[in-house]
Amino acid sequence: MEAIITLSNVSKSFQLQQVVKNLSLTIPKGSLYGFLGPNGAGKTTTMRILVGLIEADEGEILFKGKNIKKWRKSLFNHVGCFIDSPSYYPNLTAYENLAYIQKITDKPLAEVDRVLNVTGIYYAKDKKVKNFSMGMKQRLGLAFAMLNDPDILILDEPTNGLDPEGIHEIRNFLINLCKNEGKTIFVSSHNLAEIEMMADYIALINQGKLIYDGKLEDVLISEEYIVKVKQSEEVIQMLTNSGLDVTRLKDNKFSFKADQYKMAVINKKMAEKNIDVYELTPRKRTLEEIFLNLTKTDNPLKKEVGLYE
Amino acid sequence: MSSFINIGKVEFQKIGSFKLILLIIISALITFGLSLSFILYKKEYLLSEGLMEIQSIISISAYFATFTLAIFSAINWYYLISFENKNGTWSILLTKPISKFKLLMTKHTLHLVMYIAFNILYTTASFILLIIMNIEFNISEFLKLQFIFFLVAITIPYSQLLFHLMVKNGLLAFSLTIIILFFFLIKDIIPDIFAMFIPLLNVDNVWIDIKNTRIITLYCIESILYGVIIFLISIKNNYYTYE
Repeated sequence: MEAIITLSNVSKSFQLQQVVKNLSLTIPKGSLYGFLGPNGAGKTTTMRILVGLIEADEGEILFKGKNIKKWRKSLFNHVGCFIDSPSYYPNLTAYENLAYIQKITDKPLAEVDRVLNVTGIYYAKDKKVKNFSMGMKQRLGLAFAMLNDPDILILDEPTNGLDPEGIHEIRNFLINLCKNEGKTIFVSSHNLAEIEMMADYIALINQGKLIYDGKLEDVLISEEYIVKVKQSEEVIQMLTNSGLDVTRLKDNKFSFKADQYKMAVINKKMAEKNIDVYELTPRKRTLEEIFLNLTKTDNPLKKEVGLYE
Repeated sequence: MSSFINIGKVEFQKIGSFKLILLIIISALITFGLSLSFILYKKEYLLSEGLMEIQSIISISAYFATFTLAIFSAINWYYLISFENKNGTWSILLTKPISKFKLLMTKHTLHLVMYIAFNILYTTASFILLIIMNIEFNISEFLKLQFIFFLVAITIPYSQLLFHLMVKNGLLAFSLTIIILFFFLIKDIIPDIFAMFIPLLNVDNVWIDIKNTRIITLYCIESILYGVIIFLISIKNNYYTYE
C-alpha cells in the first residue's frame, strides 16, 4: 500500500482549545478515503491543515514522502481541494471563475472547458454564478478542485445541501474518478450511508482524536453470526453448553458472538450432527450504527473493533 | 514580470474595470465639487485674509481630498482584500500553485495604480480649480505641492487597509472610515506635538510647514515608511490563512 499523504502526530489548538490531538493518518494512493466525525470533531481543521490553509502546531505532513511545508507550491500542482462551502466570484460566469484561476497560475485555458464538461456544468458556462442552484455551485466547487488534473482531491462535505439525485450523481462521479482514473479522494461527509457506499477506507475522529482508521469492510463486519437451521433447539442447546450467549430472533433464527476460529468449530460440529443449515451469515453493521456507538464516550464497540483509546 | 502584469489585468477584470474607473472619476469629481463650493462660499473671507493663493487653495482641496480618499480607499480595499474573504475565495487562491507574496503584491500594485489614477484626476481637478478662481501660479510649484500630497496621502489608504486586516470584515472596515474622518475632525483639539506624530494626519499637517523642505521631507519619508510597514503586516497577517 503506497501512501500519498501521511500525517504524523498532528496537533492544533485555537487559543486554549485543542482541536486536533496527535492525529496520525495514512491515505493510500488510489483510495477513496472517508473522513468521518460529529460536528466540531476537527474534520475541517484537519483538512485545512492538510492543504496548508492553517499550520499545525505539532506533527508532520508528508505528500508523496515530501514535507508539505517545504514543498507547498509544488504540492498544489498535484492537489485539488474543496474546503467548506463552495467558493466563487458571484459576479463572474462559471467560465470566468475558472479562467481567473488558470490565468493567475499561468495554466492553459483549455482546461476550463474540460473540467466544466467533466462536472456537467458546461451548459451553464456563460451563466453568472450568483444565479446557480446549490447543486451547480457544488459542481463548480468540484471543477475548481479538478483544475489541472490533480492526483488527489481533498473534499470537505462535497454533497452538502444537495438533493438525493445530486448526491447520487456526485457519489458516482467520485467513484468513477477513483476507480477508473486512479485518483485518490479524501472526502469528509456527515452522510454516513454515502460514505459507506463509496469509501474503501475510513477514519473516524471525535473531539480531535482518531478513534478508528482502516479498511471500511473491516469495521463493518462484526464477530456476530446469524444462523437459521432446521433443528434450532438442538443447536441453541449445543451453543449454550459451549458457553455462548445466544439471542433468539424471528423466523426460527438466532444469533451469537464468536470469532472466526470458534465459528469454524461450531460449523464442523453442526456438520457432524447432520444439522440442516439454511442460513449462516456474519452480521454486517451499518456505518451509522458504528459511528453512533463510537462517538459515545463509553462504548463497548471500541474494544471490539480494536479502536484507539 | 509578464505573469505579474497578467495577474494584475485579471484582478482588474475580476473586480470590474468599469466599476473601478467610475469610482476614481466620482471620487475626483466630488473632491473638485466640495473644494469649489467651499472656496466660493468663503471667497470674501479668503480674499480679505490674503488666502486666495496657490498654497491655501491646494491645502483646501487636499483637506476635502482626504475625505473622498478615505471612502475611495475603503471601497478599493473592500474589493481587493475583503471581497475575497466574503466569498471565501482565499481558500481557492491559497491552495493553487501561486505564491501568497505574488498574489498580495499584485493587489497592492493594483491599489497603487488606482491611487495614481485618482491623483492624476485630482491634480487635474485642482488645476481647473486654480484656473476657475483666476489664481496666478507657477506650474512647477503646483506640481511640487501635488506630489507632496501624493506622498503623504498614502497614509490614508494604508490606514484603511489596517482596519480591513484588524476587523476582518469588509463592510465593517468600510464603516470604520469614519475613524479616519474623525481623526481629521478632532485634529484641531489635539496638541500639535501629538498630531505631528500621527501619520494619518500628515496629509493635513504638511501644509503648516510647507516652506520647510526638511520637515516636508521627513513627513514624506514617514508616510512612505508607514505604508511599507502596513504592507509588510498585510503580507504576514494571518487573515489570509484561516487561523
